[in-house]
Amino acid sequence: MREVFLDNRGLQPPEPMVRTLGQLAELVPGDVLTIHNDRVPVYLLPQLLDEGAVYEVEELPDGSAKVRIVKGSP
Amino acid sequence: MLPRGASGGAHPLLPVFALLGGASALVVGAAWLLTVPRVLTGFVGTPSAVALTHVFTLLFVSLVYLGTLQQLPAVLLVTDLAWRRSGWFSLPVFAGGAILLVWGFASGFRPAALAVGGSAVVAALGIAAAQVLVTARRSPPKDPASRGLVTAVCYLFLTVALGLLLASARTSAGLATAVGYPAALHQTTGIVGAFMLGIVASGHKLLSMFALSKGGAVWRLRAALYSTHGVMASSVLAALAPIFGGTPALSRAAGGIAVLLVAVVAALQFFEVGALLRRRLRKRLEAPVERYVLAHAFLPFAGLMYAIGWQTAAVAALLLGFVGLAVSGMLVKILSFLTWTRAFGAKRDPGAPPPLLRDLTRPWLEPVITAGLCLGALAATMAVATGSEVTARLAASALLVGAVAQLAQATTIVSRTLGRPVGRTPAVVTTK
Repeated sequence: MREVFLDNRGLQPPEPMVRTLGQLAELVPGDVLTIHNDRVPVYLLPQLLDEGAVYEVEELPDGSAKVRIVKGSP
Repeated sequence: MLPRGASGGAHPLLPVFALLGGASALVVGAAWLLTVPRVLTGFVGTPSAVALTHVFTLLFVSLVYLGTLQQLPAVLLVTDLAWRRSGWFSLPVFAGGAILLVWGFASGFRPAALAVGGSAVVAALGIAAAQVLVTARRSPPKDPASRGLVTAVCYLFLTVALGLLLASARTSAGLATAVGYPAALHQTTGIVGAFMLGIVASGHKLLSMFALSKGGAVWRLRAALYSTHGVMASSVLAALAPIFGGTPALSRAAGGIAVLLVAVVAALQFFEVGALLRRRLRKRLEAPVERYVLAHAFLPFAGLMYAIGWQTAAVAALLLGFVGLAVSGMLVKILSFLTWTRAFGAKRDPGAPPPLLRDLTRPWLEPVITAGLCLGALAATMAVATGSEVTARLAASALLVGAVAQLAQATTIVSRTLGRPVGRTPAVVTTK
């Protein structure tokens, strides 16, 4: 199982989403991708489900959010 | 649960109401057109023609535009939308004012209806423009696409302000003498400054998001933005030159430059969409996104109509084809995201996982929407160009089929998401 971390903070939309889904495509089922974004990526979440992934969102006190994504089978 | 304003925008139900209202307005407009198809073949300044044009531009395109402004600026500028609750006031005022305006046009340009309806629309879009500007001041746009969106909203406000001026000049000889009758300026500001630039700017971001594209060329976006400003400056000069003693030749030259720059903006957008598609990670586009892309085929088509000398037909191709299809494609995609986020961003029920985005729609409706709206726009353009009433009836019928299918799709999305119970409110979102 691989674990990958992406720091998407400071990037202009929709780059965080493109970067995240692009990275997810390179992983295999069971791999974990953790992203750190400036805000909760609300429009990424339904796309993650469409990709067959499961996720967990942690909102941080500074307003940013970490999302732990486990790649599944689409 | 995700907080309701987790995207930083207004309450998601606001844009949902606006998008459903816009889809409904297109059905009403297409059905109305079917009863008076000669609107497409006769003089464009008749009460029915002006009323129907405003059903499309205000109650369909601008209402959808206004709805997306409740969320999009916050997402693009990565900040909270200023005056989040103002949409509960501005959206109903806009819709009510636009309906009154349409009725005022249809019933023979009633001055009272045009004054009250026009003022309401100007006030609502003034609030929306101020809201976007204050939001942009909190978090200044860092790329040409975001700057383009903010600019397009300002041009949308300017469009309706010019429209109110036009309506006033119709009833006041003194005002007409002072400002002339700047109908062309009103139309150019709306079609190019507000709609085309809005699609160029927001479409760049949305297409990148939906196609997972690594982006096009920043210089093209910047050039499109500056060219749009050039269109506006030339159009203002063309409109004002006769009033301030300029020669007709100066006015004609300024108008010619404006047309040339419109062609530049259209060409830049055409190639930018091509570049975005070439750099995409998602090889198979979804049907609504294909419709958005297909809209761009109407740009060269409109140019061809203009080159032949069918200027009104070129405007019809731009409005119904380019703007109509682009807005329709984005309407379905945005509605899916908004309602999903509203209904299932909160869900934490292992027994009932949230539905997939693709399960929110009825896939068979998508080709009906695309074919109906595309054929309708093509036939309407040809009806305007050739004066054929048979083609006008075909256009109205096709538009009605496409519009009804679009409304059915929109209501399906809403019923499949907001019709379900919403989960409780945990601090963390999870599908596990």
